[in-house]
Amino acid sequence: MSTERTAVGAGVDAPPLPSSRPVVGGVATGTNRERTHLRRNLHRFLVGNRLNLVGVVIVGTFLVLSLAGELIAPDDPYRPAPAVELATTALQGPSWSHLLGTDEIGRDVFSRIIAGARTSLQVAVVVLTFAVAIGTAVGAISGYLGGLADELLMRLTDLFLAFPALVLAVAVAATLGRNLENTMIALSTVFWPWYARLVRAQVLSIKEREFVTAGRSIGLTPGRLLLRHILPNAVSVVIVQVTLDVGYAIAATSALSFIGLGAQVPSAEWGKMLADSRTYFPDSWWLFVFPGVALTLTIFAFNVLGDGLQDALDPRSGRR
Amino acid sequence: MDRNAEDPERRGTTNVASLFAAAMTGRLSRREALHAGLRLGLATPVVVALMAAAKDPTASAAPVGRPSTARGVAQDGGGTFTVAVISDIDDLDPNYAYDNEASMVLLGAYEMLIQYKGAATDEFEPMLAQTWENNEDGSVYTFGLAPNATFHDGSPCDAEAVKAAFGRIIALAGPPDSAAVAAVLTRFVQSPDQIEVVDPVTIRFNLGRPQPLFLAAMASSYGVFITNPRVIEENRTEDDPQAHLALQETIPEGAGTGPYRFVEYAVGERLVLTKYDGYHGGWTGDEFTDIVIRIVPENSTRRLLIERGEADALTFNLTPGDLEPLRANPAVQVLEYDTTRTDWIIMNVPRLLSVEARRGFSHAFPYQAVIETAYRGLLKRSGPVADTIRGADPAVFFYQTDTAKAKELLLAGGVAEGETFEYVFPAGDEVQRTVAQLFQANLAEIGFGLEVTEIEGAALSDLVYGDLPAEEQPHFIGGWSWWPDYNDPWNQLYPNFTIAAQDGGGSNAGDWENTRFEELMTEAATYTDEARLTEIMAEAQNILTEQDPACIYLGQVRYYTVLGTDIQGFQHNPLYLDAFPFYKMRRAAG
Repeated sequence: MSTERTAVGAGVDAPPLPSSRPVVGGVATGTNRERTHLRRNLHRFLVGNRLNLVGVVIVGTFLVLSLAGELIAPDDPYRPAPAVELATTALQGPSWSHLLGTDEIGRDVFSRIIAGARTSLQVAVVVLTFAVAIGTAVGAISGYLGGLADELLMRLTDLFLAFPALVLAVAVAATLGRNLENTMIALSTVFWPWYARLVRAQVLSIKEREFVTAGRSIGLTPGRLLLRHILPNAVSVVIVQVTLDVGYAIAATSALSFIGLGAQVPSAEWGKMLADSRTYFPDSWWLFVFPGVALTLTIFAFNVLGDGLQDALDPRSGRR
Repeated sequence: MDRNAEDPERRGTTNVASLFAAAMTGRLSRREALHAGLRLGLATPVVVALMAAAKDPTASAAPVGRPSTARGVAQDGGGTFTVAVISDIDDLDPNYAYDNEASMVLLGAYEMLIQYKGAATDEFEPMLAQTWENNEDGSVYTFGLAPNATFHDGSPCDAEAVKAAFGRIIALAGPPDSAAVAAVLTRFVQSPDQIEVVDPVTIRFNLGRPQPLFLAAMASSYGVFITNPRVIEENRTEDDPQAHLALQETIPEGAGTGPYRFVEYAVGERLVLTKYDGYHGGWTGDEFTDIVIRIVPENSTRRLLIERGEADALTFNLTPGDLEPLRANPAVQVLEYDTTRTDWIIMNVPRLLSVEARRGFSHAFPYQAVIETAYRGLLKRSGPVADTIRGADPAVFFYQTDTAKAKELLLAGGVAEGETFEYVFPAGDEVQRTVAQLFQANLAEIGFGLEVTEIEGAALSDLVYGDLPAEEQPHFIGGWSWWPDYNDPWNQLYPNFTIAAQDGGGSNAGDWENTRFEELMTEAATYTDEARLTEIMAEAQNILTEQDPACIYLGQVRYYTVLGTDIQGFQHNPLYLDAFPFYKMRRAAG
């Protein structure tokens, strides 16, 4: 998980990325050249690279399934087949009536994968919202104030980063108890320090720029400077990192569910479905192949999307 | 623009070998890795679906390649018998161990005085004792030992040694170092003074009052194995006065009298026994010379081992779904038989309020679906006592699945509409996961929630045997199984339903209690008349089911043993779960 995460712009010397036009005292700091870069890179992102397009399509499909799953799913993903039909409907392979087969209690695997998409999205949104909120607050305060506050907050961050992320997540989830809510808390615990580091680096860089100096000289309060002028300039880096981390959050959730610490029955979380399918290996292959493929494709797609966005939003990438 | 098109060197990475080479030399970019991964992800379901579609429909029924040399050799006798088991053996001290997997191993190296005969639960045959008799009222039992019996160190196993071995078991009944399994003996014999050495090969037990179940207890595969007093004496320390021969790094040399002796233990891998030449039963040359217990946690791996001929036997630890392909595989034999084990769901009585509520849950349970789907037919309805145990009531009350009636009873019993209950079951138990989900679905149908959590087996045991107050325990503990140590309904019910078995005294984790039931149990403990026992037990079982349900009773479990087709001489017994009569088994010549 974290050991493989790609931190975007984590170095203090990383160039600040233009997002919205920062305006200080009526002076526009965004330039036409930067906007041209952005347009050209976005065009290249969507049209010039087929891989990005595939990523966008898969992520789009994932979002549609997550948000409108009930309308698409052919069956109830949680309700077992009626008792009288169980003997004939359980563990049936793919067919026209059940495209991806049925599980041990006759539930439609396709419907469960759709339901699992919603669970994955829900986990990713909650985990990353908390991680970004906490990380941004800590990083912004640390970077802007500097000095003792910076020391204290960064040592605290280091403390969390010192543990291997998945081990820490397992420890937190095991301590809190086995369920999806606790998994989300555990993952938020391991994700936020990365955002704290990232935002701090951005703030350290941006606070030295002229528009911030100008703002300070006309008497803007530190809070206003931070919230209205510094953080908006750091946001694009955070967005790219979030896009990359969606895949990791989904993978980490599945990993915890796979070892029994995350989702519980009757959840259709993909890692849980994979874990439950092990005992049916190798006869009921559809029970592990399809959730595995859904998980793999989603994680890859979010990685591709994040990678592409990073290229598109990075002004230096045009020179590569 | 595709960057690969500009770079002939990178274009080559579309080929798998060069992709791998690029990865090895560090030239594979993150983007290329993603690209390859995405292709793999897209291609996998197509390939798997094609492979599945192309599979020969009879493939699973075809004989699986069985290398002629894979199993122990010895077409003319001897050779190795390999059993694949699911987990390591926790304790190999025959007077401490209290689980069926340990007993399976111990039955190779140690002996009781007598054993159950074949599949019978009320007939016996010789083991260490060759003869036995009792006086008219069943208060004195005399055993004639095999005159040539020796321990694995060559020392004689005479009546003095047997008395000393029973003395150790009696000492283990209480502090400072106690073993729960000692109760199998101490229910009948509380003091070494009750054991009399008549001559070197004759030992007598003076029980003080009629004990019709003494022979049944002496044939138990729990706790009443004979251990070498010399080995115990040599390993005795101040901290460990009974020389707990717990584990494997220190497999005791010469402690048993059985046909096989321990020679090797590799933690988490295997346990090896080899034939003891001096065994009092003698050797014909057809028996196995080595017994290998392989520890293989994964179900699918164990199944592959027997399909490929690398194991000779599997115990009752596959998923029921694995059985169908194995039944159809002519290279293995799947033997199915009734046992004394019954499965139930413990109900937390203080938290589930009333008798009506517990009856309601019993009606909400999907019995037939569980039998067909979770157990795949390896379960039949029963109360808390299996019909293979004496005293089982053939007319025991069964709840039928009736969700409408269940809801009515639950509401009448004080349960609030829409209430959610907690349910735990042992992690990794596929059968119990299915049971939980089917029950959950039935409760959801009538508007109640069931929050299901898997917990580790050790944590579940702590819940059951711990002394947590009822309000801190879940409403239901699923996946609980019990079978008696010997053929006796009291032995089945007492540890699970009496007040003495609450708060760590036994496995009455639901804190169920019933005054009349306590009276019946007291009477059953000292019964002498079989007809009266049947009456007592019929009433007790009715209290536990219809009158005041303590649990949701799923039923009694049918076991299976999977063997290679060339293995002969296996005989199951409903009380010896997962056991093998190693000494009587052979590999067919041919």
